[in-house]
Amino acid sequence: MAASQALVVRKRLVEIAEPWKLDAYENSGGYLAAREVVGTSDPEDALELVKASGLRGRGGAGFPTGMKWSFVPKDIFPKYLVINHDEGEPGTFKDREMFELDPHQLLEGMMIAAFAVGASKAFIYCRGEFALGSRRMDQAIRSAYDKGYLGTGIFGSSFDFDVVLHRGAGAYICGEESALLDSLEGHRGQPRLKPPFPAVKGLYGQPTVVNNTETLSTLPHIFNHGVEWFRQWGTEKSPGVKVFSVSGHVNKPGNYEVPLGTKLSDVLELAGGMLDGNDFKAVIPGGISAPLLTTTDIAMDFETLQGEGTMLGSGAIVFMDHTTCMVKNALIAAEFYEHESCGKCTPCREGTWWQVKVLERIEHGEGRQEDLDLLLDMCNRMDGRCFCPLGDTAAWAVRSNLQLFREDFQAHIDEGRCTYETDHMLVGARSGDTGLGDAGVTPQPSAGIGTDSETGS
Amino acid sequence: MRDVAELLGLTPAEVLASGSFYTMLKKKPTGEYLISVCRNVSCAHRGAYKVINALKERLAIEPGAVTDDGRFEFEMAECLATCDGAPTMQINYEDFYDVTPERAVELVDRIERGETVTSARGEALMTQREVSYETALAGARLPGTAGDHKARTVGGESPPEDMKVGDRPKLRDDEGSHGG
Repeated sequence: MAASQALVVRKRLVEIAEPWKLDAYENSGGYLAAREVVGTSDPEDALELVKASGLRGRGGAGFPTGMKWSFVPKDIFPKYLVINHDEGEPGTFKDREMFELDPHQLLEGMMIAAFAVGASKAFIYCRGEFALGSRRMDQAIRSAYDKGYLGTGIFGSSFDFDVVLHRGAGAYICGEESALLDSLEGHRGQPRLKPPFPAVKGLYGQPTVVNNTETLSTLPHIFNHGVEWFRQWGTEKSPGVKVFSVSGHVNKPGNYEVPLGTKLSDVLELAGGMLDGNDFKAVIPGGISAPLLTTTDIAMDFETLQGEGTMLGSGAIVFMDHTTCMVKNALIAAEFYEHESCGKCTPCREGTWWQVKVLERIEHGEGRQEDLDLLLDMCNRMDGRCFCPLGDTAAWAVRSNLQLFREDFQAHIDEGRCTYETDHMLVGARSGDTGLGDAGVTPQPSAGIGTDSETGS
Repeated sequence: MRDVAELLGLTPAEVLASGSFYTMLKKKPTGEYLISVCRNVSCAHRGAYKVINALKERLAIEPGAVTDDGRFEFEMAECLATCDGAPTMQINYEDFYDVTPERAVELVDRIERGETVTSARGEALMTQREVSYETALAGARLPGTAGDHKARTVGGESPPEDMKVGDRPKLRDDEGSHGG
């Protein structure tokens, strides 16, 4: 059977002209769910319905949404709802699309979530680089206020709900929920020690629910159509549909919404197959943080991918064909984590820096035989010892390239050059970012990295 | 840093702590047009480094630097979440998709000649001054500028006529917002 999409969250985006306008949203059934929930139901019932739906967070961790809400203490006020729209996991572009094209869908989901947990104020943390999205959301919020859908007594009910749009300033770590809260308060976006979890002590020390854009954009549909309808898709542990962002070496990169548990090979088919009919080499199944897979014969749901030692993550799928240099692939990931490491903990701050140094010299033909085990050793020492998942996933990303494609790394060392016809990467170009030094730091093969690394253990 | 600290009642060190953390908060004057080329996985595998090298040559600067005339700054960006348009780049945070080395250079040429450049999403480029205004106050526009004019046509919906700088959706009460 040919692969097909199950459009729920993306339905309006695909079928309606200018879906970001309030009129278009309402003409296609928008705000019916929120109106009914806020006007007639009990917060406890709304919470139970989300629990029963089995909806899991679409941001990366896949934590059950209803359970997350249930951790919020009932008797402490004010409570806050915070939207994590800091989409930055490399390869992911689903939240941005639905936020730009269908901002009211998210606002409606926010109303339901806020009502269920008893929050009357919400903050949308929009990634700084998303200029158009922030303009569209700003317009959406204004038009919702004009109609009385936001503010005092929304939809004529007794429920008050205010929304503030906040724009970030460029930091991947702010996608981590506690770092996001610090950033929202105006500080450096560094992760907080957990517990206490945000549900108990979050924004300004108050109970806070932090949910991803796609997660809340799914809510109005669950409330309109019911739990059974939602559970017609997916698996027992991963119910519903999910938007996958497909990119890399495919013919039709784009967002595809399919039932959870769909075969990766079907997703590849939807995306038009491998670019120019090239051979499949590897795939990142859930954003750059997720360890690679070398097969497409796998069900895309939370539990199956976890069982394979990787993760569904944000649902970002990056396909790579046989022309891909996996040393370069590892270096791209390592440079990313080095740049985005917040500097709070040593294994991540130092580890990501050394990962880049060693990978740079391998990619540029100056690697030594012992570098391979050194790199592996560094990854193993980082994994599980970092303050937050950023450092751990930096270890996973590099390690999976090395473990699955050790022959690529070996060939670079044996031949003293990159063995692929690949674009030349800029060595040390990152140093230009800080404005503190000149670009063009050349890695020194005789720098004695091994010794330093061992003293750091 | 001192000026900001004085305004906010903080120490300069506290301001620098936040200021030095974020990529988009620039500590030195930026170029009038900030070109950010994504270097991350989906773009890198589809030719981003060709674009980066072409811009490096065209502008004769390294990533992170500003041209002598102050017109252009060029940086390597992390994933911009438009991987379906890889390789992708932004100029003053407006998107350009499926960028080739030739197109990137052509865009620089066109800006240099003073031509109007619109993004892949139909947005006209703002200047850095307008951009900093908009990013600082979500939704605000520098009055009487191109950004202001454009804001009234984005998405076809006009903001209220009385929209002012710093005008944000009113909170019912300020308790608990702590100036957030």
